[in-house]
Amino acid sequence: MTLNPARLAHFADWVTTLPPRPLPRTVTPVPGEYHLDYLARLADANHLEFAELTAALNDTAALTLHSPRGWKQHDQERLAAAAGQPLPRIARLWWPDPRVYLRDPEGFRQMLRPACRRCTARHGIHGPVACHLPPHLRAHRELTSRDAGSVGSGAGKRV
Amino acid sequence: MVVVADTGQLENRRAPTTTLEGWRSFVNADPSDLALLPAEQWEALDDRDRRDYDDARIAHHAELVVVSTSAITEITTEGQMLVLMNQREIGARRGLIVSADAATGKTTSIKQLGRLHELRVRARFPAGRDRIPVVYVTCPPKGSPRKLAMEFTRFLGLPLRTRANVTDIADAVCQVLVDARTDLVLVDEIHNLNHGTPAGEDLSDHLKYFTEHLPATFIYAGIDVERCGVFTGTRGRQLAGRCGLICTGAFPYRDEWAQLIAALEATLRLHHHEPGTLPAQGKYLHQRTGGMIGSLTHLIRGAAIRAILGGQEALTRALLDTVRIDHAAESATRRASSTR
Repeated sequence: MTLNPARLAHFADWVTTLPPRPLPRTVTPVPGEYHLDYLARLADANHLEFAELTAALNDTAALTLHSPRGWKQHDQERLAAAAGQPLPRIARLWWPDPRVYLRDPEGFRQMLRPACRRCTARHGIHGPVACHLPPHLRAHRELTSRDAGSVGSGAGKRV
Repeated sequence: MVVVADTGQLENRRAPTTTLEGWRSFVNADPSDLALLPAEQWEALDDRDRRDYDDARIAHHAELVVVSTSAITEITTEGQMLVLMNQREIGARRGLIVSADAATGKTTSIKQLGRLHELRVRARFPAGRDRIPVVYVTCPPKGSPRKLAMEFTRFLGLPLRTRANVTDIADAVCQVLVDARTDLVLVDEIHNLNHGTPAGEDLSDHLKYFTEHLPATFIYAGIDVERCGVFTGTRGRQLAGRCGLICTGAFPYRDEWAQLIAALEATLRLHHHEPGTLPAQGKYLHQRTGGMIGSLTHLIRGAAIRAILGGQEALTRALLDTVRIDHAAESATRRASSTR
């Protein structure tokens, strides 16, 4: 991670570009989890407001230097440092382009599905986790409502 | 080519122990175990290898060696006993105050207690990597409740600077520490807490808030705690009623002093140093340092580094004379010699 990536002159400006310190408690990211949902879980585990965590992670100076693609990588590096998680795990979160939401908020919500409760429970996660799971992906039959109906046990019902 | 030593030691700067990362690296750090090369191999080193080897030895001597003194043993035993006694306590938990002059090893002692406890918890709960068994903070000078709360947030790395309400900050800190199962809180520099001033009373009240909201044992350390106002007034009496007091001080010129010097000598990595030289200088070392362990370790480590840089490779009285130590010990030595 580069310090002072925008080469800002004043210390007060570029100090925000320093890598964030790891938070005292971490939560395991679920592959495909919406990254803002992960941020909310991380903030909750550390008894922080969502805005407090995003403000600590926000590095506005990087905007002036990186292209959108590089900016995403920079955000992922900062989140990995704060969460104390390896970067590849953070990169496996779902990082959609914000314009997708802005174009069609309702359609965007429909793209989010709760992750399999059995899988998340193995990581010690007991609440719902919003994931981007394409309908054709059925690693577990209980992932989609159609399959949940065929299983018949109700174990895969969305939270 | 001979691989002589890890030359990266000098580059490995540690974060301060008042942060969680720094504290964890302190707990994880094993004592330096550098071995001396055999004489013929040492003499055959080329310039580059010799420089690397010397750098590694300097790093070894620059690291504070912890010698288990009677004070450290007493503080760790008492501290662990209190942690055990407080684990089921739901009312006022008992604490411990370590009081002494500067450079007598207070901070080292309470840190060793914290390290021992954390290693014990890790051994008992190997899967509990998200635990924070020990918190180490310093009492802020001219402190306000907000400053004290910020010391805790700084240790944990919580980005809570924007919160205006000190109770909100303290509440978040306590919840995180309860979740992380913290059971030992070390508060250093407690002499900054003066119950004779309104600011000191505020700070004390807030410290009490933490002791009541955290199911943990609090261990304090400070300089001359009995005389600096910590036990003054109602709050001071309450603190005195809840905490035991251990006073450490300068070592008298007795057997333990000789044992201490022998233990420090055993950590030296010098090629021409004869074992037994330093214990033979016991009286001189006691006069120079006034029996202060901090001054003694500084003197010996400083002389060892000079012996490596100067090529003497041994500690002699003449070399020890050249090392400047702390002002308090130097002035005490001057006073003693002028009255003779």
